[in-house]
Amino acid sequence: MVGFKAAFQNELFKLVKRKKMNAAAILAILAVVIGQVAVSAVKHGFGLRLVGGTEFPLVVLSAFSYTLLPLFAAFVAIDMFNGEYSSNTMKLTLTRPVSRFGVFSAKVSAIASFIAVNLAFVMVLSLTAGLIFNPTSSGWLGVARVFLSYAVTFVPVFVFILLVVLLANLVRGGLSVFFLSVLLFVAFTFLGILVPASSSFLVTSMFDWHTLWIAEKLSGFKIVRQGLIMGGLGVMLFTAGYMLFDRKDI
Amino acid sequence: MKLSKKGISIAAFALGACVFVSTALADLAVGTGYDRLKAASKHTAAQLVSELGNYTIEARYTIKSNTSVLHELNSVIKFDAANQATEETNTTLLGNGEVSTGYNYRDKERMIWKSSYDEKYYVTEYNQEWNSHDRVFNPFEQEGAAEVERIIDAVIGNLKDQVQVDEVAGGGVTYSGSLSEVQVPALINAVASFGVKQMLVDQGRIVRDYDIPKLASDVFVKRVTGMAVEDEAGLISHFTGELILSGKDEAGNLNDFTVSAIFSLVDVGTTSVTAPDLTNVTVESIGGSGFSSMHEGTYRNDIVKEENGALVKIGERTLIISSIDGNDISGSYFEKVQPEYLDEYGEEYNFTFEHTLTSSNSMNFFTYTNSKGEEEQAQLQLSSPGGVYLQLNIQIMNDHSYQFNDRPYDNGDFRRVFEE
Repeated sequence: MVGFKAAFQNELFKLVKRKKMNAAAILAILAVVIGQVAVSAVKHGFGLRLVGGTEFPLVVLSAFSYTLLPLFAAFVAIDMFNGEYSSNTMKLTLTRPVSRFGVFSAKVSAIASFIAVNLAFVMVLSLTAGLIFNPTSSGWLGVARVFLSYAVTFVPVFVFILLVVLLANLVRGGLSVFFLSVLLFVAFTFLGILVPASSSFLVTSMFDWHTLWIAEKLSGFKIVRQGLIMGGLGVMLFTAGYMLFDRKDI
Repeated sequence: MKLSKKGISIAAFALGACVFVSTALADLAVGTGYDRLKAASKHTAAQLVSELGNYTIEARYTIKSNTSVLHELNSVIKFDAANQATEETNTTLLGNGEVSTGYNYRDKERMIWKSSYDEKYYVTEYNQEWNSHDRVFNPFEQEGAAEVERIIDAVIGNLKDQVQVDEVAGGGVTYSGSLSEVQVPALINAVASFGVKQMLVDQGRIVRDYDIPKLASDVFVKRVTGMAVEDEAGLISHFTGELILSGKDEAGNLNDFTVSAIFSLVDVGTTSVTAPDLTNVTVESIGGSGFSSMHEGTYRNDIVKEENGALVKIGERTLIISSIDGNDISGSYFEKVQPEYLDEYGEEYNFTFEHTLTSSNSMNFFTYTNSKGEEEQAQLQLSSPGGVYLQLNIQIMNDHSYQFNDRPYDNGDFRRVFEE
C-alpha cells in the first residue's frame, strides 16, 4: 500500500483541525459530569449507591456507546466522504501518489482512531470522576475491567460506522446519509427489542458486547460468535464501501 | 494467475458474508439459556393453569439481615382443579421470634379460614358458585404481559447469556445464573435497592419489640443468584432465587440483607384437597359482606343542619338490625324530626326490611317502602367497627351503575348505640 502512512497522517491532520473535535470533547465532558451529578443526587437523596467507583465508567459507557459516540463517529465519517465530495477537496486527495485503496483505508483508519481516542478520553474522564466521587475498594481488577470494556466496545461501534461509510459512498448528500444512518440505528435498536430473534444479525444489539467480557462466568463461545458476526459484517461493509469508493467518478 | 482488484474485492465480500450469515444463524440456533428458561416457565404456567389436575406448591420467602432471620414465610398451597378447591397453610416467623400460622380453604361453595390468633374457624358460604379458575391465572397471558416481557428482554440485553444450562443425566435441565455487583444494570440496581429499602421500613412497622437494622446510605445490589430445575416432563419443578443487598446503617456499619425465595412444585397428580372437619371446633359464620351476629343492634345517625352560623340537631335516624342469620339480615328503620323542621324536611321514613347479602356482587340492594307507599332501593355496608353505611333512595341506572339521591342532611354514616 504505497503512501498509506502519508495519507493516514493527512487524514488525521484534517480530522484534528475540525471544530467537531471540540464539540465532541465538550459533550463527552458534559455527559460525564451530568452522569456523576445524577449518581450523586440519587446517593444523597435516596441513600442508594447506584454505582461504585469503577462501575461508574461502565454506566457511562452503556449510555455513551449508544448515543454520543456513534453520532459523532457518523459525523466524522460523513465529513470525510460526502464533505470532501461536495467541497471538491476529494480531487486533491486522490491526485496524490496513493492508490484509491490506500486513501479509503487511510480514511477508515482515521475514523477508527477517532472512535478509539474518544473512548479512551471518556474512559479516563469517567474513571477519574468515579474514583473521586464514589470511592470503593474495587482496586486494580475494577480498573482492568473498565479498560477491557472500553476496548472491546470499539468493535461494534466501528462496524456500525463502516455501515455509515458504505452509505456515504452510496448516497451523495451528507445530510441524507446522516438521517439514513440515524434512522437505521433507531430501526435496528427497535427491531432488536421487538423481534429478539433478529438480534443475532444486528450490530446494534452487540453494542453491550462488553457485558459478556466482564461476566463472572465467561461464555467464551458467545463472545467468539458475536466476534465472528461483527468481523464478517465488518469485512462485508468495508469491501462494499471500498468497491463503491473505487468506482466513483470525481 | 494474478487476481484482479475486483476479484479480490468480491472474494473478500463473499468470505465476510459467509462468516456473518453462518455465525449469525448458528447464534440464532443456539439461543440463550435465558430463552430456554423463559420457554420452560411459560410451558409450566400453562400446564399449571389448564392441564395438571392437581398439584402442591411449596414456597418459602426469607429476609435475612447478615445471618439473622427477620421474616420468614412458609406456605404450602394445594390445588385441585377437578373439585375446584384450594387449600393453603402458611407459617410466618418474625425476627422477634413470634410465630403465626394461617389456614385457608376454598371450594366452589365456601371459604373456611383460621388464624393462630384465635381458635375459631370462620366460614363464608357463597350464594353463587365460585369458579376457582378465577384464582389460578397464567401470568404470561395477562393483558400487557407480552409488552412487559419485551421490556424485560430489552433491559436484560446481553445478560441473557449469563443463564447457564446444564443437561441432567436421565432427563431434565438445570438452569443457573449469578450476577455480581458490576454486572447488575444500574436501572435494576436502583429499583431493587429502593424496593428492598422500603420493604425493610414496612417490616419495621410490622415487627414490634425488635430492632431491625436500617439501611440508611450506600445501598446497592451486591449479588443476584438464581437456579431452576426443569424435570423430564418439561415442568419447572424447583426454583431458588436470592438477592443480596448491601448498605450502611445510620452508624455507618455495613449490613448485608438477603431476600430469597424458594418454590417447589410437588405431588403432581397425587395431591388431594379435603375440607377441614368442622364437627368439634368453634365455627363462626360470616356473610360475604362481613356481617355476623355481633352486628345486631341499634344504630343512630343525627340529622344536623347549619342554621345562622350554628349547628342544630333537628332530629335523628335510627336503624335497628334485629337479626343476622348467615346472609339474611332483617330490621327496621325510622326517622324522628322535630316538628318545627318537618315542613322543610318532608315526610319521615319508617319501614322494616329483609335483606339477603351476596358476596360477589357490589350491586347488592334491598327494597323498602317509603312514606308515600312507593318502593325504593337501599344499600347497607359495614364501615369502621361499630358503624354501618346505609344509603337510601338509590336510583339504579343499569346493571353496572347506580346513583345516590341522599335524604336531606344525610351522610349515611350510622353509629352503634351501646347500652350504658
